[in-house]
Amino acid sequence: MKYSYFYQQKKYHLLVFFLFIALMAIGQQFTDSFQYDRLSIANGEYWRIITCHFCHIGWKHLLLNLIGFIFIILFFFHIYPLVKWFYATIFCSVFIGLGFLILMPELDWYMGLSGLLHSFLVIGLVGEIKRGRKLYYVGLLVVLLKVVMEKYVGPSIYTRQFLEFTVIADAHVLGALSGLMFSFLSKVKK
Amino acid sequence: MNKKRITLLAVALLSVLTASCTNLWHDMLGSNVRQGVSSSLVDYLYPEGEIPPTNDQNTPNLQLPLRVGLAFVPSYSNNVEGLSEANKNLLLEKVKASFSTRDYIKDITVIPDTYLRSGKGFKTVDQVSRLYGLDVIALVSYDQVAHVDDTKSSILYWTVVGAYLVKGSKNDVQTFVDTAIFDVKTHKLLFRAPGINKVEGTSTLVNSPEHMRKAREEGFSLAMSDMTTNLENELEIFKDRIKSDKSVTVTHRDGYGGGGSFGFVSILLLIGFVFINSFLFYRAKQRM
Repeated sequence: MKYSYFYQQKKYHLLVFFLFIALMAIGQQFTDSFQYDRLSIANGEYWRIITCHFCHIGWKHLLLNLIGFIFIILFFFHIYPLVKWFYATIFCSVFIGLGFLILMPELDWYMGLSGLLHSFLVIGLVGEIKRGRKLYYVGLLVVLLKVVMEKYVGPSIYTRQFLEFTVIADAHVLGALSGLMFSFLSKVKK
Repeated sequence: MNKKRITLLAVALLSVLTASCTNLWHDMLGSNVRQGVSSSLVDYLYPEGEIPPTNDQNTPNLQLPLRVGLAFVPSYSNNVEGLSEANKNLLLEKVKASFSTRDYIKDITVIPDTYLRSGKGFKTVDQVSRLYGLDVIALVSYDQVAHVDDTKSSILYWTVVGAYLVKGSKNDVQTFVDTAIFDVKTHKLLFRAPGINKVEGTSTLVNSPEHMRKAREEGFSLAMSDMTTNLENELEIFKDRIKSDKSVTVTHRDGYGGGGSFGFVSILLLIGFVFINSFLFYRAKQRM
């Protein structure tokens, strides 16, 4: 019985990992054109809804999200086929972006992968639950609690001191919601 | 014979008297006359023949989202037929409602006429803009001409009763409004949009003033609606124009924003999943 990527030995997972790294490296060079910017989106630059997730404020920001991304790809990537992760990326990016536009008119700009990472995390956890691993109910509950806590209390003081910018906790809420929604629409391979 | 002459004389006298009454009434109500109200933007911004500066090399910089002021150019005529302050406010609020939901507009402030009436020229505009903290100001100037003409049936006004019952007065009101949007810092005209309307109708001599008043108000309301539609179109043209000719630069204010980052708590949580995964893996292995 296999429980994580390590035991799946699918080489294309590594390829996808490097593709994401490449996307984020490119995004880092074009933050002005890629970041979520409410006014620019209103003026027709709709690609920002998706590209904002692949650029970061600084290297520290990128580093933390990369660590999260590595964990997620190791644990959960094998649950769904590659094409489903691609659909998840598009669906959740658009969901988060539209959530910002509709529900957060005060948010002028945003960038970072963490909204999408929370989507992936929830998709992974629900996927494991669907495969019969009931212990992941606890994991899902903890993640949802963490997201709600972050929204109302804010991120930890260590994170704030390390990053030196405002962490948009609503991105995590929208990410988790989009992940839940996508999970309910998807079937997992047993 | 004598009695007959007296009767004829009495009828003639009565006719002349009623006709005179009706004519007097007619004149008092302002029939067959042209009336109008107007406010001139050029007269207001450049009083006493001032000339706008030439070769002004300053390029307006619009910092989005914009704080916009909206006001009528004051009319200095003593004509009481003009728009009341309450009506002006109502019309401007309608225009405000059409634009205030735009993302690039922070807020729109309706400025009372009296604030601009204290002086003339850009000096007054600057004072008001500073008071409200405006980036751009939209000044609405207007010109309204009203005509009252008699139709053929107005002859029955001579009967006095006709003045109450016969719709012999033709009223037409032509309204022109023009909104010019200026950058407050550079005093440059960014764009403008006109609105026109013509209201026609007939009324009895008695109802003519009331009908006219309503027609004037309706004329302003419809012309402002037309102007609002044109303003929306002109705004789109302006947005495209400044992208190509760079006559105006656009920057964004430092607004609320931030990054979406996986915090240390999230990473600790993922490390927790390592343990869960390991636990599940070894339990499965033991069962095998």
